[in-house]
Amino acid sequence: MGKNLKMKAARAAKGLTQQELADRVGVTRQTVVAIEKGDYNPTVRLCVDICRALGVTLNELFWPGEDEG
Amino acid sequence: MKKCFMGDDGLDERQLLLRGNVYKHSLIVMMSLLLIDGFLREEGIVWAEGMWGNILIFWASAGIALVEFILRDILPRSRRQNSLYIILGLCGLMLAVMGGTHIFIDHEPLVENGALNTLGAGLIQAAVMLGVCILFIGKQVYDRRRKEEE
Repeated sequence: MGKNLKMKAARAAKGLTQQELADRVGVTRQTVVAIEKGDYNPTVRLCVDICRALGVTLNELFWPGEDEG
Repeated sequence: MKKCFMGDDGLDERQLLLRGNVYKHSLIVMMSLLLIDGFLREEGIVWAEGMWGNILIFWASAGIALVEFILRDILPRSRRQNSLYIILGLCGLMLAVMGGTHIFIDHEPLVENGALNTLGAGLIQAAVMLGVCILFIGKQVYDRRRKEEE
């Protein structure tokens, strides 16, 4: 699983730190780090919460682009 | 927004998943060590006196679980639960000081008749407890620095 650069970019665009995003969705900062690094595959529930916190859709954040497969 | 924290101990979904793996590793280590200990006893080899063999096996598997908890960030967010690591370290320090006193002042041996005695086994136990606590403190410092760098 590759890095989730889209999530990192969306978070940066929203002006949130990893800790702030983690607090908003109710997980630890390390979990946000793991998702962005591609080390952890979140559940749909957490994906939805992250999308809501960042104001984007599931497709925009978690659907792989053509180059990602 | 509904929080993703589950369980009574405030771990999130990634931590709960990893915790299951850690318990599995710990159980495998404990079972393997008990088997090896059983074979050794069958062959007449006693490496620690009395119940200390079993106690050290417990500490080995518990130590592995605690180290994995710390390194893989499976720490609850409540300070009360995390203070257990500090209490563990203080107990370890106390045991180490007591053991050190026996060694350096009373000149008591750590091994008797080829087996670890109470003093030797107690010092190993203290080392595990202290090691876990030092690792915990180190990880907290490391995480804080990473957080500041972000």
